[in-house]
Amino acid sequence: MTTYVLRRLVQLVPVLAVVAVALFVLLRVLPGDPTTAILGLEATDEQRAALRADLGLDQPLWNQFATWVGGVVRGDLGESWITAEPVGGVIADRLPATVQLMVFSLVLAVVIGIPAGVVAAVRQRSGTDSVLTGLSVFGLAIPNFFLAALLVLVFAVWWGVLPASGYVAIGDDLVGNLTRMVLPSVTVGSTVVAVAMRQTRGSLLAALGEDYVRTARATGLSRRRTVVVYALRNALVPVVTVVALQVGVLMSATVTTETIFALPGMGTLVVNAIFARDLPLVQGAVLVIVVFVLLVNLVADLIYAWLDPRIVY
Amino acid sequence: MSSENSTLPDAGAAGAAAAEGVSRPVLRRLLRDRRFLAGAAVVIFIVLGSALGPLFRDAMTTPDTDTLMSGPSAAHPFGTDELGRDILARVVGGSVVILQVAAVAVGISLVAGTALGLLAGYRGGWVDAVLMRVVDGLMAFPLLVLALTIVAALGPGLRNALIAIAVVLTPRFARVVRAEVLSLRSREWVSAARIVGVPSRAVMLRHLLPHLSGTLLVFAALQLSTAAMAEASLSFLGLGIQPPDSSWGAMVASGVTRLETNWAMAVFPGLALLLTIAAFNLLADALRDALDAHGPEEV
Repeated sequence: MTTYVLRRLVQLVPVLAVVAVALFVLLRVLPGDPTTAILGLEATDEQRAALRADLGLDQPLWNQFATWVGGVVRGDLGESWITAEPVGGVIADRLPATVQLMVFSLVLAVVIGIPAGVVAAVRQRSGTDSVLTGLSVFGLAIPNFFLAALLVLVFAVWWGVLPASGYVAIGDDLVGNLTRMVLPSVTVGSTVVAVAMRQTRGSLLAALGEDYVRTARATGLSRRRTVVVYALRNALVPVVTVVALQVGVLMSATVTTETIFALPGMGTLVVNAIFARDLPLVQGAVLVIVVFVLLVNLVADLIYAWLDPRIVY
Repeated sequence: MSSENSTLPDAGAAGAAAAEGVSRPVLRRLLRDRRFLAGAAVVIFIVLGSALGPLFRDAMTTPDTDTLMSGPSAAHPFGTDELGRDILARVVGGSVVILQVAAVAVGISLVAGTALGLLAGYRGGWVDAVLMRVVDGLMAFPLLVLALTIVAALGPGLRNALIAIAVVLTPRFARVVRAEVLSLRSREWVSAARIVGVPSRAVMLRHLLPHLSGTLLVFAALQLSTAAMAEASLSFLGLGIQPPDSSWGAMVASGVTRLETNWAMAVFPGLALLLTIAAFNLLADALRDALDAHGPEEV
């Protein structure tokens, strides 16, 4: 197992290298002269030259790349062009809201998606199954920002039971935090709940067709016990990976969701930084997001290998 | 996605289905599939709507200052927006954008991704190694986050959003095509073609490509909804289409800030989006089952 973990970590190196080059080319080479974004159109040529020297933009591209990567490796993501704050610090402030959204969405997937999938599989081709499957089609097709709009309309505007937007840190006011995170979590979670449901239904149906299930039933075990103890345990193995692999999809969903609910997370950070043309901030935030997603995917693979002893690694 | 049996991609069946393309039995299966019929009905409806789009240009842009922000009524079935423009006309007019962006972005990534996938899978060696590392790296980005990064580099706007979506989808096509080519490469007819001296280009384009048509058709159909969702999200964030032009995503964005005064502004364009994306998904699911080519699950 240790060698497997090490090998998987080594495999991440070329991926991270491509990610770093892609980010550098996209955000430092393509956009042209950033001094206009920082100084505006009024600045003189001398001011621009001084700023370029200050930001290290007068260096050859290779040097700039090496400086950036060297900093990243030491945990230094550089400084914001607009506020001159360290990018790492800004990101650290923004991570809690996004991580909380993701954790809550995954909890929803486990608490709602998996049981719904079990019910749909056990009652295959029933009315319940059709309704649940229909809902999953809906969950996969609805844009997150539209679901958010509907939830705000119903729960905040019409019924007035939940706040429409805003954020309180979980440490400052637990109840305030939770009431504000309900609608965003449902919004982000809708897709992953639908995916968990479909996957659970599919793999439980496959498991229920296996010989060992028939044997279990033949020995006189109750249907409930057969499903829960025998079939479900095996059926859940692929569900774990498929759900964990949704973390990239969740990240995409948080971008629009945070915007609509005015949450100070990574998504709003990236979007606002793009509007402000604060490219080091975009670069750092996107890098952190990608590394986060890669690590979660890696953990998912490890859990899968650990859960299913047949997997040779 | 909704296929009952979660069997792994069966190269044989997929290859056979691919070879015949959309043949008569496949078509018959499709026409019996309620998902296909529902999806096709919606898409045809929207295409017709987008063809009618230009007729609505006046209604889309001409403000009716007597009725600002009104709810649904006989004169304005979907109500009017903050400038008194008819929301129904705007929803119908806006259908052009999402269809164009989805079709063009998927088209570009289909061609580019297929070319890269063929090259990587058929050539193998360092070409394959390098291309696939780049593909892995690009696929490590969450879809919308990479699209955002590209828009950050190129600047906001519909054309740049389209480029971003095409770039984001290309590695997916490359990966699928490469996997398929790897399974086909060792077939006898490929070796036979090589032995009789058919040049590599011709082997790739005339011998391998036709066998990929089924897989590509299903995969492209799946990506249509992804592309549509991406366009809507970018425009919602204000990074896609720019005013005075508008698309459904941008309309929802302007409606969201005015939910308290007129819910119709966000709800109707949003419903149009939901319907379109659901229709694309249903079509893709039905196509996959009919061709029995199990493409990879949504990534």
